[in-house]
Amino acid sequence: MPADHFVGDFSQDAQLVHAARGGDRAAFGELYERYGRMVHGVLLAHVPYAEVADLVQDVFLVALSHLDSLREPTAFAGWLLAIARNRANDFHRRPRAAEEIQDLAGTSDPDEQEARAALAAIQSLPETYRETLSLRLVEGMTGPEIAARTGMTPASVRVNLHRGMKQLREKLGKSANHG
Amino acid sequence: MGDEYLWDGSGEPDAEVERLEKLLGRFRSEPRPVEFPAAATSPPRSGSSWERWWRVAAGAVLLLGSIWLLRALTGRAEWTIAGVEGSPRIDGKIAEQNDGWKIGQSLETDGTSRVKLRVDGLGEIEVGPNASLVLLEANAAQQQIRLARGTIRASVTAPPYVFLVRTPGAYAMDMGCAYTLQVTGAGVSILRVTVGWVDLQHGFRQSLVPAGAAAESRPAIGPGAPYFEDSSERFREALETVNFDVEDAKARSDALTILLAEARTRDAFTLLNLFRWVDADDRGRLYDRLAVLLPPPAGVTRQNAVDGEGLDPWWDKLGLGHAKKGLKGPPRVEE
Repeated sequence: MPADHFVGDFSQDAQLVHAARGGDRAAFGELYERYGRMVHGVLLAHVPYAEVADLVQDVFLVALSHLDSLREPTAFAGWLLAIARNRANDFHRRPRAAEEIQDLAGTSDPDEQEARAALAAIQSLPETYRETLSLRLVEGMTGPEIAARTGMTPASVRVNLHRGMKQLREKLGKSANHG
Repeated sequence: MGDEYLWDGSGEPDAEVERLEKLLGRFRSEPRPVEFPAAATSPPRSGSSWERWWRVAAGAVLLLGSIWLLRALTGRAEWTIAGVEGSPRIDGKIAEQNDGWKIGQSLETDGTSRVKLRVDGLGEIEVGPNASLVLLEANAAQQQIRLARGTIRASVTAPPYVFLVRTPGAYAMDMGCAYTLQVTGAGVSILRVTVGWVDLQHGFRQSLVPAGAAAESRPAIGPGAPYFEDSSERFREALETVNFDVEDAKARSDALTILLAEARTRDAFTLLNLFRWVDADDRGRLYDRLAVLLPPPAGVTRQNAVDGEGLDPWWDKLGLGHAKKGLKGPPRVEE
């Protein structure tokens, strides 16, 4: 699917943002549907899986309550990404109770263990690679979709996927060898 | 091998990418059904009571926020234990009067313990027996608590939307009020508002709950329409089905029949809320019953109701006032 397929989506975002500012919750709901997966994938690149669902809610709650402060409605996606990354940073800045750290709990399911190890390996990659790989491998978005949703150029996404996957293979290979 | 499969899923599948997709798919964002209030699927309405409440709340944020910020700058937004009964514990250690409760710390009470916590400029909460909470955020802009189980009574003087309690079923956002919030072992939360308003949200379900009313929230579903607790038991049972039996449309429709039959004039508040939750056919039934309980003001037609539009005058006729902080002075938790 060509990347150009998605050209024009940001103008649709602007229309939805305008409508949402006017109190149209269905319009904000559509923004949620368009970007929920992206926010989830980006957060998952940074924070434990058990925390992601709550943080997605936080991100959209913040976005809804600050929508009037968004000066350029076509920049909604980038603005939302910034909120998501800020929330992920906030998460790491604050101390957490033991009950919140659930991802470290043991499991006897080999697939689950392998999945957690793979996710941990992605989370250990440089930020640009981990977000792109999380969106591709976890959320199932294609490269063109990632480019369209995040505002990155298709070429950048392609490079990030290629380099990130290379590093991920190395990490998983090493952990398998040490396992 | 090229990267086409990694790029857009085309070309020869890369075995390792495929395996990772399958493994990691378990962490994928679950397409949570975004549940809109029925009326919100219509074109945006300008000046509806619902939106007017939001705007009034926003105005209150600006005004009270300025006052509160001034106080916040001269005070510390720290939680302190203002009263103890029994042996409540913070991070496993027995808590005592004047101890602090810091971000990330858990607070637990056993069957015979209670604790009262206070923040200058914010208000206080009283934690009942068998409760479990975590303080998630504590600064001038946001105070956030996770209530996993048990009951709290909150009396909040901060501006709207500063004090937020997460429960398994919804976020409870204070709009200048006093309320009791209980989370059961099953994760069901029950909110009872005594002063002001509380905004319950989860995804795109929302309930604005005024003083004297209650609302339940369920994990993975969110809040239901609010109700007055002196309504009949059959009314409340039927409302539970209408609110939360999201998989069974027939059960919901049957329950609505009971609910409409049981509704009193005072329950018009719940019925008006339900216009946001039911489909067009049931909105017509709601209109018919409401028209008997609380005759529609001039200009409100059955077609308005079916469309979910133009119901503002009916909201105004309820006489519940708006979600505005400070109407009744500083809230205070009943002792």
